[in-house]
Amino acid sequence: MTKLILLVEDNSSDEKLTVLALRKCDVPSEVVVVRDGAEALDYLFATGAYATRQRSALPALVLLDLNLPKISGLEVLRRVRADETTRALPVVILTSSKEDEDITQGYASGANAYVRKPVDYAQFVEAAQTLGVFWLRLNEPPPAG
Amino acid sequence: MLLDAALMFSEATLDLERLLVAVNRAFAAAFASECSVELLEPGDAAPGETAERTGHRLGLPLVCRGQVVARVTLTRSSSDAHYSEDDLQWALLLARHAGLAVGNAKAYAARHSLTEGGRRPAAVREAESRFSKLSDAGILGIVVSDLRGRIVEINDTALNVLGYRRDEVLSGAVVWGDLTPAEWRANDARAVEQLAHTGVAALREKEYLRKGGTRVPVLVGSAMVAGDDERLALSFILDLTERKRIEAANERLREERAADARFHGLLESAPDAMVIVDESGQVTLVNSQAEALFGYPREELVGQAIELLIPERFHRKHPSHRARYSQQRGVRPMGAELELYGRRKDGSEFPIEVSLSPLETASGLLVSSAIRDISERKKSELQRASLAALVESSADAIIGKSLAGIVTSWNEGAYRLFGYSSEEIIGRPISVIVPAEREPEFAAMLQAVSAGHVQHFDTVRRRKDGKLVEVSLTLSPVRNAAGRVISISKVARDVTERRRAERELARAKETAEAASRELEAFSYSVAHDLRAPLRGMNGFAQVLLNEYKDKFDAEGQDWLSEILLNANRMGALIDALLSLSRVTRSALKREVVDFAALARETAAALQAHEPARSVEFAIQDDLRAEADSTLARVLIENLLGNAWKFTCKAAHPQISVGAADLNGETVFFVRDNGAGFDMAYAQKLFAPFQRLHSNQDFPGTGIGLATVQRIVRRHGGRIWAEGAVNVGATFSFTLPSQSPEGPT
Repeated sequence: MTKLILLVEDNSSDEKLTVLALRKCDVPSEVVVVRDGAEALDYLFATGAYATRQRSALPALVLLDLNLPKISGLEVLRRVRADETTRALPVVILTSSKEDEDITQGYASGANAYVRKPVDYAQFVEAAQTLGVFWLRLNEPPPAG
Repeated sequence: MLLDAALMFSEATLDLERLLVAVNRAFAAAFASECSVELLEPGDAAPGETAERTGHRLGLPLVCRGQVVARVTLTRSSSDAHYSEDDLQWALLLARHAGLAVGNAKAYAARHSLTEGGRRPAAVREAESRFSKLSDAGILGIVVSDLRGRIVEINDTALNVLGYRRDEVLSGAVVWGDLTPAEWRANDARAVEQLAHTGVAALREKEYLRKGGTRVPVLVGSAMVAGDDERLALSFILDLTERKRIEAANERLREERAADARFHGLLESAPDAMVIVDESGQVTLVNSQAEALFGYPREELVGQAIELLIPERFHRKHPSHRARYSQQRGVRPMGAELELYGRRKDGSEFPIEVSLSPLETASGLLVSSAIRDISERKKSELQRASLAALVESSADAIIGKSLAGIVTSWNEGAYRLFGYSSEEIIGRPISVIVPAEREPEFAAMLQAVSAGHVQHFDTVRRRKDGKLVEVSLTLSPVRNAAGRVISISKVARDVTERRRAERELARAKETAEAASRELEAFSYSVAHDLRAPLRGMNGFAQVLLNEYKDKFDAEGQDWLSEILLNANRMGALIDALLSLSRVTRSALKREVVDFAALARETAAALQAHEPARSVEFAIQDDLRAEADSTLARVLIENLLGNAWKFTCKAAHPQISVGAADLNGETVFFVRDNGAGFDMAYAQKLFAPFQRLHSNQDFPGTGIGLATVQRIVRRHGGRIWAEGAVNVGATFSFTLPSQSPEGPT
């Protein structure tokens, strides 16, 4: 069964590389890409441009960049955790920041994992595969509410 | 009075009964006393009986020719004065006369009873012969003269008194009246008249001219007696020379005693300790203040050398000072300009002030010293002086003013702050320095401080040149002993400069904070935005290399590899720069860090990363310092990482970590025997991006040592490097504990 991954990423290069890396995983997945925090929230809560989407169909994993236009990744995370329907959604922060401050705030806001995007693509592929395996295959998602 | 008595004795010489009455009356009158006379028979009294004087009672033996013939007892009532020594002397004199008279009368009475019915003139002759016998006693001079003043009889005593021989007198050459000096003659004339009328002339003191013209003080009394053919005057003369001498001596003694008493009173009432010293330096007199001051009782001082009261170190010179004072006596303070000290009995010393004055006395020069303990004064003088110096030297303006706001004192600091000299402002109202718009505030402040409240506030004052100056004021009420506020003391500090500096500092801080925020934002964007394109370059080159490899020839593949390599190197550079900026930005948290433990962990990590290499580590134990533990780790990782890297080509790589004491300062070091460097470039080592080796020889970013230097400087320490090419390098650094953050 194909799992849905929501990738929140404003950098198109990073987006393509992430999709490429995820494609190399053994886990079959479909990646939905949104470009900023506002769009991510619209998607998750089936509002705005995504108002027609069935709200209960949530992705199996959200890969969230922190440095996003409009609404920051941390704010997106906080709203996801604040909403009853998305509270248990697995969210992995995928960012180039290695600042302690960002990591701390990420976890405090309810991130399930924090992964730094390495410059080296080989490492990046490795990280993406690890994520895919863990969150799409091993992790039992919470029952859909 | 006394001589009245003597006259009565003589008048009644031979009548025992009348004599005793006369004696009684004479003593009673002379001494204002009750008097009893007791006639004694031979054997009734001890031959050596003497007079006794006990308070209100005086007992006198009347003696005639060695025999006590009667006893007189005088008694005064207890409210009257005691009998004095003088009284006794006079009484004894009277008693001698009375004794002779009584003795004679007793003898006459005894004889008269044998020759009953004798004629009166015969009695007189008998008396005359008795009179001549009186000369035996040598006390009473007796002269018998006729009414014309011719001397018909004179005894030896009278001759002695007058200094004439008997024949000169009896020949008529000496006229009785001529012996009286002119000033006494009027008095004499009255006495003669009295004598003629009453038969008795009252006793009187006068003088006679002795032969040769000298005068003799005498007591004279006369009575008329019946002679053979005419009436004769019988005069008694008592030489008072000795009496006068005694009187004078007594008077002198009394005066001396009174003077002594006055002197003692004066001495005791003096406010100072008084010590009186004779010419040999012996203490002769002290007052009780001196006893208290020096802790010696009077008897331990009197008779001692004055040096007893002087600290030993002055003993050698003091006698010569004393000698000099004897030469140039006068009232003056002692040892002007010198610090004088007294020594108490317990050996303790105290500062004194001494005033000397000479006392010329019969027994020689005495020196009186008034000694005052000035410990308290010294202390308060010192206090006052140091307070005054403090006020004068203060950088602050210190101003005294009355409750009405009139300036009463003005120090140098006030002159510097406000521009007015003390001469121009003392006596003027302080309000001249208060700007008009501050007057209500000034009035309120004055009122509050007058009510006793200390006031602190910052305000503005106007200088003499009109410029406004920002001041910080403290006004304190000055109270009198009763606690009433009597004036105001004010301390003013110029805070214009401080305020300006504070404003500048705040501005600078704001600028620095803004810069810091910008830097943070910059670092953040470096981290995110610079790395993203790199990831793209690296990622797509990687994809090409992996998935389109067969589309490139060997050269093309090599170039793709170059793209990857450069992208990775730039990633490393960005990471190093971020690490450097973190070193600068993060707050410093000092704690005790053991560099030995850190070095061992780092060494182990390096070894684990390259297990093939064999490096000999020598790490001293216990290298403790106060440092931020995160930064300390970055520091040691960089230094050891460098040492590890630069020893990779050494035959026997050795790395040592330790500490040494350099001029009392702990210096930590990391030493290796690797590639080393040329000391000419030692300064370049710590600059960011400066490298002394090619990337081919030793890869690196050129940021590590810059980071290390920043860490050391943030701890307030210094770092330096020593080395030689292919010999090795030593990096030394200090980490002073608790110093403020140094420049970063």
